[in-house]
Amino acid sequence: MCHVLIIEDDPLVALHLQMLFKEHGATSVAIAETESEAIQAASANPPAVITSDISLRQGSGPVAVQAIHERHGAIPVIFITAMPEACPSCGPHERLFGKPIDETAVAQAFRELLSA
Amino acid sequence: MTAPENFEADVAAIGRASAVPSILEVVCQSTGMGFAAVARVTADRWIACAVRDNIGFGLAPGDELRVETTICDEIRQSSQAVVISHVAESADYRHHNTPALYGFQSYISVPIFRRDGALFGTLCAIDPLPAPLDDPKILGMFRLFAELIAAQLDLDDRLADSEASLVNERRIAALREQFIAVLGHDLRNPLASIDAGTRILQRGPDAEKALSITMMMQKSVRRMAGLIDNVLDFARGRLGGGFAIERRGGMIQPALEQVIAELRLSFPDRTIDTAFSLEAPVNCDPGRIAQLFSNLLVNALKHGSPDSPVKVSGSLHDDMLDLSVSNSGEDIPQETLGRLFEPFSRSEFALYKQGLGLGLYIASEIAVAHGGQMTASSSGGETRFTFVMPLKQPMNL
Repeated sequence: MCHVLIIEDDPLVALHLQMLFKEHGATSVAIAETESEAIQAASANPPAVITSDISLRQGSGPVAVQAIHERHGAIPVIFITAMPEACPSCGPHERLFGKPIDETAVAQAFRELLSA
Repeated sequence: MTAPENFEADVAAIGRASAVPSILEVVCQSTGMGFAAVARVTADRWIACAVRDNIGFGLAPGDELRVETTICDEIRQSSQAVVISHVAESADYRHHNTPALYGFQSYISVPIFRRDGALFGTLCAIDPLPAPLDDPKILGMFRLFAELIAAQLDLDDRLADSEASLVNERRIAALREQFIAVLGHDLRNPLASIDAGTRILQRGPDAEKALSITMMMQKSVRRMAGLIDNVLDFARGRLGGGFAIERRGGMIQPALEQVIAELRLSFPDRTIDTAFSLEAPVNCDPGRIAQLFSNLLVNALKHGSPDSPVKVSGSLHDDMLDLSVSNSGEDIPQETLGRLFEPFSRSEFALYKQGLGLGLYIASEIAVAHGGQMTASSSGGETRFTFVMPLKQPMNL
């Protein structure tokens, strides 16, 4: 079983990521568009991997991820943002990618984080 | 009339001039006089800026004398120094009111002129006893000190100017950085959305899903196109040959109504109240006026309180076109209001969600290109943006 939480307020990007992760081993996917939806979704079904945008329509991806980590432990995260330049460096279980998405690189990071 | 005087600033500027206490000390020592001061003198005020008081005359910095009771008032009018070694022996001053009023027998005062020729005030000294002021070296010393004090004041002003422009430069540099960041963010996001759409379509979804995907992609294309238009307008206004308009003329109400209809689709929950009376053609670039109006309306819809209507009105009167857009919401502080039409102004106080902050700048450029003007007011919970332009253009435009 591999459940993935996608925190992303652009419906096309979210749908694309959903397809991509299912092709690479995800068994179920939840999509959250806001910070509070993300925290709620993680509580309802704790994910194996999270992907998160940085700036959301309501709230912030990193803030949601931090709250999820506090409740459910250090779940690996892939941050995907239009402004990767503005993001601090990543921890060992984090990856950072820019938009538009490089499918191959994101899929590889996803597989690596799953097997780690 | 001169500009309003800021006496506190004058007292503070003299206070910052580190040489002044030494100057006053030297003045007292070399003349043997007990009281010396630098005073700010205008037509109706005499204010002590710095004081050395060895005789209990009783004036401190910031204290004021009635200017008409002082000899400094005469110096202000004549621009000449006054030197009295012994009042009782002076034909001009022994019956003068001032020495009797303040009880002095010796007096010297020289004007302090600023670089622009304006009189700042005087360097003066008094004593209840006569003093040996006939020596021309004494007057020479006073003149030199007066020039030194003026030079200090000029330097102080220039320093304040440089500091202010440095602060402004830093603010603009920070805004420029922010602009570039927001531009990258706002261009890559719709591009990422379109890219994601193509990746989904490559995977061959059913026809109904494909249709909804392409509709979302088109929305992103429009977002990007609008952004690119704004950036191009900005670049033309700033880097190119100025903001171009084409005065085709015509009725503008249909164009404005189309803008409202489109924005009602984008903001379906919002109420837009309209009051137009624009029955005559206007000599303008209708497309640009519609763009100006759209920028104002988007601004009001984004920033106004969501539960109150946005009100728009347009009229032709007194040879002027008058368009205004107002919304309810928190008042915009006065100092921010003054900067709203500068580029990037919005991004200054709300980075990501507000876009590039070019809308009001572009509206203002369109207004100016039409010989008109944008103004903003914000009070009592209502913010209003108004565009006025003259209907008759000067021939040389």
